[in-house]
Amino acid sequence: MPALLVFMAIAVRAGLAGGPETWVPVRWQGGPLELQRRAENKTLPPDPAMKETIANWYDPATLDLLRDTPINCLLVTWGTCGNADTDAQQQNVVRSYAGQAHTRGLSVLGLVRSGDNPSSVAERTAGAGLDGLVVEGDSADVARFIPEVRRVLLEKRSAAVVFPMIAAEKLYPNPDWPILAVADAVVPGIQELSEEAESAPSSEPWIESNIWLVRSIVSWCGSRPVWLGEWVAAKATAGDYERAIADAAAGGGQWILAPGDDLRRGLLMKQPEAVATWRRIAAGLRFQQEHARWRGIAPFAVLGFIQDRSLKDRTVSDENLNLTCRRRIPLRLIDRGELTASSLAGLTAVHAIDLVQPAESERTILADFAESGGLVIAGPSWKQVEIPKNQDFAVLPAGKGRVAVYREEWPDPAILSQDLVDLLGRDNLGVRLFRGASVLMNVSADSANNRVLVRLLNYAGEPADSLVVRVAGGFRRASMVTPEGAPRELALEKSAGRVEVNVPSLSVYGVILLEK
Amino acid sequence: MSSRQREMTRRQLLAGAGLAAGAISLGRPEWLRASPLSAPTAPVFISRCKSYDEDLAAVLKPMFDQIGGISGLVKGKTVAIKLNLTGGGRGFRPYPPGDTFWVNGKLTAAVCHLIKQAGAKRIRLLESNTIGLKLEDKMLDGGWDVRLLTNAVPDLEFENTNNLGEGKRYSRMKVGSAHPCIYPAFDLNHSYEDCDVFVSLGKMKHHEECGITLSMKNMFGITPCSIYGDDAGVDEPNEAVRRGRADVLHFGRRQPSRSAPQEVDFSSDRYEGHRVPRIVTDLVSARPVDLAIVDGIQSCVGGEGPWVRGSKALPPGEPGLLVVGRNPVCTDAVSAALMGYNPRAEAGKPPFKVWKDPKAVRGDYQREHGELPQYGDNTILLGEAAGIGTADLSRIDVRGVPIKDAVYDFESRRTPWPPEAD
Repeated sequence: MPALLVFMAIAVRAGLAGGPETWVPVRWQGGPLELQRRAENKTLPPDPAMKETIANWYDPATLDLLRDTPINCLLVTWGTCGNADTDAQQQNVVRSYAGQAHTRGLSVLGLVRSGDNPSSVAERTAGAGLDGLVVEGDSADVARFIPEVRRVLLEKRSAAVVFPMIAAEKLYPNPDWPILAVADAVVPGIQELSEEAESAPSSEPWIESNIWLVRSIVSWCGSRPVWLGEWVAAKATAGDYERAIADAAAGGGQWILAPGDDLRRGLLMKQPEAVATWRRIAAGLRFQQEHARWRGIAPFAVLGFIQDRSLKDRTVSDENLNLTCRRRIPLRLIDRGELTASSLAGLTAVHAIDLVQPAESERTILADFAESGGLVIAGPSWKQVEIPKNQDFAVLPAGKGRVAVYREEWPDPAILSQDLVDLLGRDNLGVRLFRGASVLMNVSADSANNRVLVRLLNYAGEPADSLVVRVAGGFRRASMVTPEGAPRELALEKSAGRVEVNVPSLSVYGVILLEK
Repeated sequence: MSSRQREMTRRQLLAGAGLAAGAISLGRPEWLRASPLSAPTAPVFISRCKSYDEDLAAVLKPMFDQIGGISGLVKGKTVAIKLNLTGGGRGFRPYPPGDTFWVNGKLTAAVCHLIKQAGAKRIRLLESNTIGLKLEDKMLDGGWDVRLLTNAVPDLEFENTNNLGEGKRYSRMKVGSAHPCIYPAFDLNHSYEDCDVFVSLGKMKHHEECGITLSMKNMFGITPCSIYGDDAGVDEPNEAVRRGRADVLHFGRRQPSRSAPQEVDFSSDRYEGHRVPRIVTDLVSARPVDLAIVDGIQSCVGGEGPWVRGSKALPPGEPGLLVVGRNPVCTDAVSAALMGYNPRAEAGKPPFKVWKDPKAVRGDYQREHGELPQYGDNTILLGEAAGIGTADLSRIDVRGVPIKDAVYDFESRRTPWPPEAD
């Protein structure tokens, strides 16, 4: 019954301002409680003007900033701090602000901490008419906090949704969470390399990306939105914001836009640079909204990556997925529980390292896959085999295919991902990128590969020039869309069973659509 | 002064100062006593060329003609061209690798075009790169227009020589000199033997360990990492090798695969500034260069690629030089002079005073041997001592633009030098 009430409540809210699946969120923190919290954790800016901006953020005028943007969900500072005056002030300003936001069709979620008083938070939330709560904090505390809040909200007949924003590894398919929100995503970009790493002639830049993480969550969360809650640097550029938006979207998720204090102050002061940055952010968000249907297109894959979500420690498995994506190997995630012969259809290889001890049925499926020409990457439990001293694995012929059996249960992810490229063969990856050391791609395709979508995301601060994308297949047309410009046709160069497309320059994000 | 420094100074005197004077130093090994007067010489031609967008074939053709023509050399022959495509595809922004630290694709296409036009039966482009990565794909990654090459020579062949490649066996190529420096012979990809004419197409630039890279240093890359790589097989080549040549060739921490010839003297100096120039000399002796071409149209300073601290690209049009010759030692001597250096400079003097960040040296060199000496022996003089060619400018017939009118001062452009250490 409580679940039904929550569902109905969500439906009612969806009728007014769109449900969680339509929300485009922004961290929109301010008010006296925000000042108090920042003072406590010593992140309060010393500049009095900045403090004033934060304190007065819930002036209705700030809602004007959201005009001409797709943002429709505000995450506001909420909860309690123990100081009755501050709590009361915050409640008053947010209640008023939320009312104004609702008249503009915006949803308002309160950002609360799991250490707050759940009953008090729930009562205030219902009283202020907020649309929901996002609970930050330690996952165990959150697990205790949410049911109590939800209970009181139901008593108050509040339509507010409640969901946590916690570490990715603590997320699971809880049916009560309408949104899966990750608290520990990385800020996408190129990481500074150590001296030693830099000194290698063939070293590649280290790319920080959430694409693998979002893809992993999307693979099991059904149609629910996945939100990433990472913060960009205080002095972030427009490109940094665009990159964070695109990185989340490229995997099928959504970044919780978090404008820095400088940007917010600059917007209020109508500083040209801040306004220009805001316009680019809005364009990036709008682009993702306009192409939201692309999230539903299946991944183009040559590799099936089997994930066992029941593993106690997923660290190495996750790193395997991260690095396999970073090697630009087109892959499809397959949950261990959904491993069937048909789930492997169309694949060239299967990454089965997560199956530390494959069940007999799993072994049969994988063996059949290899027999019919596939490549299986397996751990030592597959078969006792003599592995040459200087090698990490042995390749066993199996019918028309092969099984690569590793010595270690969990081989070094960096080496394993490199092995994958070699074992598959670069020419067999289906889609290859040249001149794009700072660029990652995520590829989707329809079932017959007649339409292929190549999302390209540049993680460097400067544009990537003269990229070449090579795609297997006889395509007749290629076009590219970017957030900053109109769609344009790209010249196709055809040769023996493949095409090459030249992208003169990629600022941050672009999508190539190839059609047969 | 440490014993290490004393030893270095003595060696510098022997390998640098003694050779520079053309004199025979007491205590110098017999093989080093080659008189510069007995070393062969051949004409070298210098041209100005400001851009890769110029008609490079039109620039090159008279250069080839002026050094005796290439028709007699290549007609009806199989020609192999070793390119300098060191490192990955990341360039000094905003330039692609082929403009600054790789040889350029358009220049290579022009060379291939002229060689084909001169009657070559077959042309094969060679370089050692990541196993499993086709040479054409590496070129594409580095900004080359591969179609330009295949349009110039439709049946052009490419081979990655970092392992066995297309061959059935490795070719054993013996060092021609009676006194090999480090190795008596090398096991190489078949392409280095299966050719009638061998061209080294190198880049005019600095080098972190050897001081300069020209047509001779380009030869270091002919060694297959399957045998000479850090993860080469102990007994047999490792055809799936992934790592570079630091352990075997640079520092001699381990030997090449036992299937290949081993070092002549296991007790010799392990410092890379001593070893690499000598290995290069051995290689040029084992696989003689019939035509040396140095791409100095655009370049970089401070190192051979963007991974070297303190390195940076030169702007388009600089140095604006192209050099060709039939003898690699002569060609490199002239090229070094064009870079503003004395081709007979001692080790420890520019450009053979090098700087390598000690933190960038992997392994245990410093623990075992102490401070990095920070010099590179003069490869050009070692080549002369090996009897490959003369480094004496007065004995080289330099044609085209006079050296004095074409000098481009590399040293002044790599400031600050050495780069500030952390």
